Amino acid sequence: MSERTDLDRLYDLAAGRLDDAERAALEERLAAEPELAAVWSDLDAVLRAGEEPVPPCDVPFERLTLTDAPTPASWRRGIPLAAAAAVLLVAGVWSFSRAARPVRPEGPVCPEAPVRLEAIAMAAGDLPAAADGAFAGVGLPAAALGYAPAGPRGLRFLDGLAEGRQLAAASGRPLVVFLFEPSCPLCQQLAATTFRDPGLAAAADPFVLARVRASGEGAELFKTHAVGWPVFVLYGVDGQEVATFGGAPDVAKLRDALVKVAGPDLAPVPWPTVRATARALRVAEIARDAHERDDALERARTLAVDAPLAAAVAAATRAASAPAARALREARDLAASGALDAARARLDAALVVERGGRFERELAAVRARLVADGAFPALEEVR
Amino acid sequence: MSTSGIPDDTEGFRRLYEANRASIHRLLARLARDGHAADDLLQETFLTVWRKRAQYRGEGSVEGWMKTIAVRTYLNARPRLVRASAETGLPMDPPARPGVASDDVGGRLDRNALLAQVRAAVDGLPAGWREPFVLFRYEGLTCAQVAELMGLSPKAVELRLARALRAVAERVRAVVPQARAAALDAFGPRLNLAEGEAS
Repeated sequence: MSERTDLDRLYDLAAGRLDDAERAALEERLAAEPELAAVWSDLDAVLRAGEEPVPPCDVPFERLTLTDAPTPASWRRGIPLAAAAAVLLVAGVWSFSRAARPVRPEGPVCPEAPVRLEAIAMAAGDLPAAADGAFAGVGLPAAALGYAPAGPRGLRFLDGLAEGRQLAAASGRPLVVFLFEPSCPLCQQLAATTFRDPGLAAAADPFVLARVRASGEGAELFKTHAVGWPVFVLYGVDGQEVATFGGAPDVAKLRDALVKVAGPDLAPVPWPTVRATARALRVAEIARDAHERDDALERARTLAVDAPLAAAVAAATRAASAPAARALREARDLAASGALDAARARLDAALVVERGGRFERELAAVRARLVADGAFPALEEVR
Repeated sequence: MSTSGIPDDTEGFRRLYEANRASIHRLLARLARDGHAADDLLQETFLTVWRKRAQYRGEGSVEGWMKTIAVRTYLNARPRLVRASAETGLPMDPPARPGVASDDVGGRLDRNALLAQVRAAVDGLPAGWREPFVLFRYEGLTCAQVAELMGLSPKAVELRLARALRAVAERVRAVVPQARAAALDAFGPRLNLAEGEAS
């Protein structure tokens, strides 16, 4: 680097190293630039003050141990580097071996599952044209029109992995994927016995059930999960895989697995709401005029917007010991008797207690609805 | 003598050491503010010079190259030195040195007091100002050279130096008001300073 700053020039000026032309130019600048003159003043004062002598060096040459090897200090500095390199090497090998293993396909990722239904309805409302299939791909599969996981003839499975994932994500439910082959004797046995047992209906209700041929759409899933069929793969509400088991489970084992995966706090969008939303979207799809279409979309939006709130409040109400549940019940009664201010105050008090708790968001949502509409949300209508 | 200019043999290296140890030790003592630490750093510096002698390409003086190594050795050791100073509770300052006879900045001044003030002012600077100041003021490095050594931009070095100079100069002026007047004398008539500014 050869660039010289003003300070370098001032130092050279003080040391008498500038030629006449440079000196004259710098003096001109000093006369014209007060800031530069101030720096010169400081520098000159420091230089004139002189230099304190430093004690002489008395380290004899013999004290040096000349060696081409790094000094111990260098070794010490090198140890962390070597350790870091080793860690990186191990991480690289692990990453490579992990990449070489078959990757399990990810399940539906839906962190705010119930709200997804609302998003679907909103997205549908933004579509420009009403035509068959206009809502395909917005998230709610056609099968949702009449789907329930259990009926009079036992469990009901959706045909297809993609539809199952879509519906599970939209309705905030866990998903059971049943990998089968039509020629598989155990699969036939399950279909004829276990799946028909009415004792499974209650346990299966919170789920979306999908069946997939192990040699077809489910081939990739089957390859990474089993060596034989049938296989059950269970995904949680968040879309993460939570359990896998194979063979032909009896009713009790299958029920236990479903109950365990569902957990006590599951708050899915109720099936009637899902079906009603799907129907409203379908009506909007085939509407004869814009007015009918807008009505249908508005109905879908209303259902979808209320659904998560209703589900969450229902869950809160079930938790009898929770202060939130008590507050909701009391606020509902107060609102029904016309005491809106008291209802709001009750919710405010509950929010203080529930801050950071499981139902803080729901309480806040109910309060906001109470303030906006002047009435407690009509939760029963959407349940 | 190696092709690079640094002796390959012990005897040649001894001569190089004897010729340069005083200046490098002085630099290290000013940076470290501790004579004992400077002794250690001096040895580390020359061991590094010995090990890296083949890397010297003859660009610039041998002394400059060795001083670069010395500064980097100090910068590497700085955290250790600060830690050691904190642990022992001892300041890193060297003991006061006997002064020399006064010969400038007002012959009537107590030279020892002035130098002690200068040292106290320099030692009291933040490390980020003091190190460029030492390299610039005592080693005669340009701002660009200091910047390269310390991994800073020349402008940043210039700013730090201006602040360090201001701090030290104010200390000097507090002891020796005449120093300011003397400094301004050189350009006083041309600078057209205000009355209060020049006094």
